[in-house]
Amino acid sequence: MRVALPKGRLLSDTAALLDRAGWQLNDYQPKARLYRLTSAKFPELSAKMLHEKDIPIQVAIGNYDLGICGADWVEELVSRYRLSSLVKVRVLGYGHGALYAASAAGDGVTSLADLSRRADKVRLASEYPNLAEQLAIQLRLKNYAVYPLWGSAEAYPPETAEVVILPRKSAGELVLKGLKVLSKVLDFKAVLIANRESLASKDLSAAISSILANLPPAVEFNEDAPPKTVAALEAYHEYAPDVVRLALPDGHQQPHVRKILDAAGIGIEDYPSDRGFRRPKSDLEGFAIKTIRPQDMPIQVANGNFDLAITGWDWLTDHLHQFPASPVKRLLDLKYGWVRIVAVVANEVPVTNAVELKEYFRNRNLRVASEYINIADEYARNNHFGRYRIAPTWGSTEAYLPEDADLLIENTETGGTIARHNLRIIDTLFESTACVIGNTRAADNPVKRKRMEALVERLGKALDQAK
Amino acid sequence: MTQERCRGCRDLIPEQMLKFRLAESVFIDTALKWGYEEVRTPTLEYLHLFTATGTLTPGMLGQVFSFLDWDGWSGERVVMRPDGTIPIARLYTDSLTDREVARLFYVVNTFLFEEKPGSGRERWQCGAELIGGSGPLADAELARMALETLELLGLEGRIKISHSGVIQAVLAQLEPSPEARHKLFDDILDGNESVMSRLAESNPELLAGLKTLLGVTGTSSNYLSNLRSLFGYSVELEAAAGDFAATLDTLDDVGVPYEIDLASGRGFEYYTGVIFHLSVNGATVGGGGRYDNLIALMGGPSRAAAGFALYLDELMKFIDMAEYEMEEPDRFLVNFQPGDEARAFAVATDLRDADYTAEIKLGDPDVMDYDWVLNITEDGLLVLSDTETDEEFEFETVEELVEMLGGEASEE
Repeated sequence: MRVALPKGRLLSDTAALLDRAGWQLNDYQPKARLYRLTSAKFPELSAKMLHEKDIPIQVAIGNYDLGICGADWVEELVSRYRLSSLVKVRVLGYGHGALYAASAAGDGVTSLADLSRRADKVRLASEYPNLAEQLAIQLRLKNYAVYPLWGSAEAYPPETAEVVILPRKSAGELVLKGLKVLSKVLDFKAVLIANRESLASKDLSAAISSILANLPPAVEFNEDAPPKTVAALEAYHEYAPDVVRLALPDGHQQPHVRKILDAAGIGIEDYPSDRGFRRPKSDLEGFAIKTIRPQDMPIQVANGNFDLAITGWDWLTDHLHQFPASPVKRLLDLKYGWVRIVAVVANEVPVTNAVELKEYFRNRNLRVASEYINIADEYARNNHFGRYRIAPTWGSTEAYLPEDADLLIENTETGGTIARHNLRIIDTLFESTACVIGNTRAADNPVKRKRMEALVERLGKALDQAK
Repeated sequence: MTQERCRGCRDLIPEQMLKFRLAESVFIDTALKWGYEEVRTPTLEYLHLFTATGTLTPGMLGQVFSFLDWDGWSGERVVMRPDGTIPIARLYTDSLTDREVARLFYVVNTFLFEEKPGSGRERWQCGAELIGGSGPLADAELARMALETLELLGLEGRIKISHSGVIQAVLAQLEPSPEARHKLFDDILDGNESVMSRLAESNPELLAGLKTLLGVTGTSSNYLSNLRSLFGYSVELEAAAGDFAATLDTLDDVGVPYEIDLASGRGFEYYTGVIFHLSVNGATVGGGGRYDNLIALMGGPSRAAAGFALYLDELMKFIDMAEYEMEEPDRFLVNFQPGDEARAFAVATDLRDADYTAEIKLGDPDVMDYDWVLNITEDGLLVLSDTETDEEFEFETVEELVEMLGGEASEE
């Protein structure tokens, strides 16, 4: 019996539930270094910790018999793919959250019906692109575009998306971010899911009943009324066309970027922001800055929402594989955040390179797992692998070998994590560092162009001096 | 090792392709005789073509094959054509608005994810659109033409007829929102328990009337009088029933038999007036209706329009090739010695010019698949043998041979 358990948000409640259920898992805790778990109560059981978002797909394709994750990720999957192979067994009564459709306060949109009446394109940005599309279809939007995001959706309205769909515990949290809730799209809790085939043919009763017998008491969730008044965000779209829109990375890269900006003598406030704000102020004239996920930058720069951004060469490469004619270019190598993008197999697979891998899997379906789906796809195509499938993952990709995938396309700094998981690198695709990327079409405005060039030059000089 | 075919897609092997071409050519001949002109639209269209006009149901939009365009970073999505009519309306709006009346036909494939296993993803249809033709006469023309196509294929087609306006007007008494009515209608037709019990509680008389109406089919416009008595007077219903009656009267006048069946208007939001449902032996083989708003919704001029499509994949199931006397030209197998390839090609070309089918010998074919075997001898003579009688004839030139056969390429 194989079980997929969530990392992150639901981990501690799920661990407590399984503890009450007497599973006696060996190492199901936040800082666990290995992803494989065993249960003293069920010797037949093997469990793995996965990113919550990956669990519904892994259960649906039959890699796992049971899984626990938020119902939001289940809905995201089944709203687009009628997955008859996925069964929702029971809502588990913890991990409450809601998905909201929201727009910027003060943007003139007062309801979803307002959007339905619009003839021009409505941009929806979300980590839940399938649910966003479903909403667009239900609202009968006349013209819409859905931008899938890795995260930080709250940063987008009003300049880079009219509507975002994002999870929060309450509407009030969004209001404090300067957003206005248009509707609640979904209420969700943690849910126990099963693979239909497993449910039909395997005996999972002991595991399921032990979970159901130990559910926490249902908690009535009362949402606080959201605060009434909130200041509208200062919007980019009020800036002149010669203003450069710059995207800086959020997350763990911020100290690196801050160091480079300091070295170049660029004053910047509220970056990294301890209040979680996403609009740092700088002393650069004619610049407006936002912080978003580095993975989302290439497409945002390509579609003209930003002119310049700081992201990884790996993410730009992935974007360029998907859209070879994209107007985004690397303008400056920032020479930090060095990683190798590598092809990885399990140690027991007797191959040392891509050619041998192709032969080894001849006439078999090769399962590839990667966060870089377009790089992985290109790699499989260029090496003429036969039938292959790429499963997108959202982190901890090394957990997938060997049971759930045959090949990973992964980034690594030292190779340590890969070796620790009993895996082996068989190929290096390329090396990646952080870089400044820009939209070549943004250079049409001469003032903007000068500003962009000046910033890139300043950063370049600072790097040279730091050598 | 065999290669798997893509799920929900089918191959057409030669025998099936014959049926396909037969159905297609009968439709094309019929359409041409009625004065329709052939057009073709691309397989890929922008997604917003199908969302902007609001003519596809959310359910249908959820089934389209869509993907990011080459410049998908701009958010632009394309779809594989899920429907035949909307692209034709676009084509008309793009290129043909100078025509007050356009009679257009097409043979295209449409793509939708299968609703249930076994229903295909790629569906071929023969469609006709009459743009700019107003009202009952145009409806009657399309109905007549559809039935005529089926007749010429040797099939007994039946038309069920419904009316979008009438359905809307009846449901308006249950549901104020036009969008919600479509779903309500489908729920009622599906016998959705929770919806039915909700309606039974809130509007028992109306629901009873509706059930009667959906359960009973009519064969004349008297049916419409009964409609009025069941649902009371409303301006909307009166106007729709009047429009419906005018079409029914015209169908009676031009001798198109029909059955009134409001339930056949499923998925009716596309249409603004009459809705046709075509069947053979109880199986759906086509459908159509009036869509007077579509051209204007696309930014074109206000033009009444209606059309129908025949579903080729369904029609093919009813075509029995044995019933057709296919006039096939005699088949020749041209056999030759190594080194005589050029002569063999020349001889085969002469035979084809005389309207015969000629194949150069490859491999080891069964001669009984041919009417004649023509051997080119070493000294250049043509020896013809009849595969049925084994009789042999000698010729020096193809002209002599053709003359001997009477210059007739076909067996009578």
